[in-house]
Amino acid sequence: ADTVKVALDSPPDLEQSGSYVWANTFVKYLNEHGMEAEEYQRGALGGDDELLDQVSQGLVEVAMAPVKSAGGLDSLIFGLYLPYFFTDMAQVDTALYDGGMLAKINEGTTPKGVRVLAVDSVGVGTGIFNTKHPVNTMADLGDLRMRALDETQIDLFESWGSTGTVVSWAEVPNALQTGVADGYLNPPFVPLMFGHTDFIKHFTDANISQSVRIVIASEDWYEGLTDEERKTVDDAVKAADKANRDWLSGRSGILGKLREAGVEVVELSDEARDEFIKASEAVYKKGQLTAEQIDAWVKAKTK
Amino acid sequence: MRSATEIVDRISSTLNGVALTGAALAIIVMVASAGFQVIARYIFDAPPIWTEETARYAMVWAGLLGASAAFRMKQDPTLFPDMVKREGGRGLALALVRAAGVFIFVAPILYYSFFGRGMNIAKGFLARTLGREAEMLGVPMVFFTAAIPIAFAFIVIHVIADVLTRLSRISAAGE
Amino acid sequence: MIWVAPVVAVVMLLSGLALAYVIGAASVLAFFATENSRYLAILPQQIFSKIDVFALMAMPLFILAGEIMNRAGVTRALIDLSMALVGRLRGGLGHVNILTSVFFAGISGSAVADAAALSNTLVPAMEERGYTKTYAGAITAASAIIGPIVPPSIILIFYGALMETSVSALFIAGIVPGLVLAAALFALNAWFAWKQDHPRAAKGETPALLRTFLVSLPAICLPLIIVGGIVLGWMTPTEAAAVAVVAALAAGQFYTGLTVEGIIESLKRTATLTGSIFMILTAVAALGHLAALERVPEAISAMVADLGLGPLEYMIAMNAVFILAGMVLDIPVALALLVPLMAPVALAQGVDPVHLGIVICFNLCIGLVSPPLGGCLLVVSAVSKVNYWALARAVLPFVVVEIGVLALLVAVPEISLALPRAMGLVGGG
Ligand code: NA
Ligand code: NA
Repeated sequence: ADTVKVALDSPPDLEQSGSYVWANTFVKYLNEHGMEAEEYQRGALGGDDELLDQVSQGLVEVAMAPVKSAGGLDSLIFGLYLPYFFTDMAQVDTALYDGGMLAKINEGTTPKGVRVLAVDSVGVGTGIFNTKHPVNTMADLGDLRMRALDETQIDLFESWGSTGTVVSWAEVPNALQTGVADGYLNPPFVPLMFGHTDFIKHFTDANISQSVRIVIASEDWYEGLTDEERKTVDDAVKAADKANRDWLSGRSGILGKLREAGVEVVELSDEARDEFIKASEAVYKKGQLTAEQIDAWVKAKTK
Repeated sequence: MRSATEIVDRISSTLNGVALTGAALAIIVMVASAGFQVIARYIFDAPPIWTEETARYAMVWAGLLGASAAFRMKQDPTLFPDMVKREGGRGLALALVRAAGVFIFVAPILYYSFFGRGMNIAKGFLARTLGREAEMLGVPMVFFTAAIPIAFAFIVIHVIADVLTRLSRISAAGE
Repeated sequence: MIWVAPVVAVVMLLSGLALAYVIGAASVLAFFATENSRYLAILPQQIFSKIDVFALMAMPLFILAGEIMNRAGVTRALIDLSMALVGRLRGGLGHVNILTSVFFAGISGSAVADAAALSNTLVPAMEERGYTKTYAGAITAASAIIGPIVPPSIILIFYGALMETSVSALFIAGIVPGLVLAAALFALNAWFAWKQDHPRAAKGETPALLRTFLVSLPAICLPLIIVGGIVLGWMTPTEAAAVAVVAALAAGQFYTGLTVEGIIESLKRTATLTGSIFMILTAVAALGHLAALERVPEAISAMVADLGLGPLEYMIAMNAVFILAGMVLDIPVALALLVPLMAPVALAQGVDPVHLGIVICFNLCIGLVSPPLGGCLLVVSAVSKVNYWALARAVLPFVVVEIGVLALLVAVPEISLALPRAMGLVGGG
């Protein structure tokens, strides 16, 4: 059989990158169990769109990918992005495995040649960063213009009483520095990794959503495996998932690193959090998910 | 023979006019949407989200149509531009070598635009992008990805027209 | 079997086929020769992803703004202003030539366009005053490369898109190196003027400063709007480019040089120039994918590690490769081919991506004035009817000085980084 190509989406850094921890464990497991597998550096085989295209055609076997790679084929997976929906990664796992959501997601994507093998964590939950002042309550967001990824995020900011503006990632440092945008939503490691802590001065540990990406595999390849090989792959996924969640539990020190870099860290009070949760639920309906899909996620996470 | 050549060359030059007009319009769309973005940001304090994507896809159309026009008008950078000006039998031979080069490059692009692996139309590039939506504009991506096969098909017609025109010039000189 | 690809490539090059198509055809053959042909199935998507890039958007718009400017008659106003400022010095017209290039650089993103516009007007003017035609042509070509280093810059936009680096930061980083280059050229011209006793303009021969300043105001405001708008965060580079187009149209009204035909012609030129660049990106998309499948970037990193090259040594080696490439290749071709292969190693060694962009841009611009294939030399020689090789010889002292400035830039990254760092556009030192 062909060597299993695994396309990375981050630098090969076992300390900082949860996605690499997953990929590296997966590749090692396959190689140790008689299946040849190889890592390809981020970007080497193309960007997210090209990788999705290659996976769907069976040209690349496995790729670390953003959630939207599968979301473009079937929107159900966007439930992972619902703000204030999951309390932690354990609850995500409950929904995916005990609640059967991963199987449901694959019912939508596998006819298009793409199997979602796993959901990997890339860090502790997303919070609110800004350049201006501490954010203790929703009202504190009123005078901030937040960098948005898309329309859904603009809706979210508006429901919080804030405003959003779409800025591409390459121009984010410029936008924050010059006030085109005052802040963004990201996991705590992002400003550290990209050197934004020179001008990002405030972080609110709001735990809005779990910081996740996904692992996609070619369905043609997966279906074409022998029973024995498929078991090896499934076991490699389990080993990689475990390594990824273990890595995540060692990441709580990241807030200390933010403080060291001169970022003031705010913890949300319970009342303030409740206010955010209520405001956020209003935008669930406006997002990419139907009411039935949201319902399915609600049921699955409480299984 | 001569009339067939004339028809192909007429098609080629008409398509080139269409490409240039389309590209010029697409550039105007780019200027308008990027300009509107500035106005909207400072006057209404609300940058609309569709402007960036509109400008980007207008650029894709402008660039690809412009690429076909640059080919027909021989404006692409070349290491030995004098070779293109050669006439007669040797000029024709050189033109055939160039045509072969263009076909080798363009053939897989055109083929895989319509077919996926194993001649599967449903897995071709156009069919795949028919099922994907542009993030902000909410229209199928195929409205933009179609620029690729269209531009390269134009280029193929320009190549054929060039070779035929050279052939007919040689036969006219021989008469 | 892989030998087929380069052999066919050489044959097609000699037949006069455009570089982009040569690269594309050779890549397709190489896919077959390396038994990777099935990967051609995603070629259309690869191409689409290479051109559907946010950061590229400013490129056609700045090309358009430059085309309109050139047709609107701003050249005359900028030359007059330079005359009023430095015409009275010894070697005055040489200085005027360089200073006009600096002003021009602020509105145009392309060196070849600058060289064409100025060799039309300044070379005959210099010849009239007793300069040799070759010296006039040489200084025109040599100073035209200030254009793509000072913002706006097509080359820097292209680099930003390839390397996912902020175009705003690149634009700001280009300002000081561009001015240092101008200063070095002023010094060399002054030396020639002293040694060869070049003329200076007589009193009363230069236009009145205040009047020319007012007349040229729309033209010199434009770079201030563009650069200022980006620096102060009012606009993204794309938005600034759209504003530049509108401003160029307005300036065209002011100088009365602009016609509807001129605008249509500008749009068509923009389309074909952008198209040529897109075709290069398209062809390199195929080659780049093959290089990744065959793990060429990893092989280069391994080779650099084996040779034990440190950051400075690698930068010097890389610059040598780019200088050679710049001599024979068109700039977008050299950028698209070499940057994805060579830049990641430099970044891994801790070189700042913004600084690297300026160094590569500066380096490739030198290729525009060096034989055998110097884009600016070709244009100046064609417009002013100076023999190409005589021009190439005359420009040599300028090229030597420009390589000297490049070496300084490599050795002292702060020349490019200090300004964007002060604005907070690049990380701490
Ligand atoms: Na410039
Ligand atoms: Na000049």
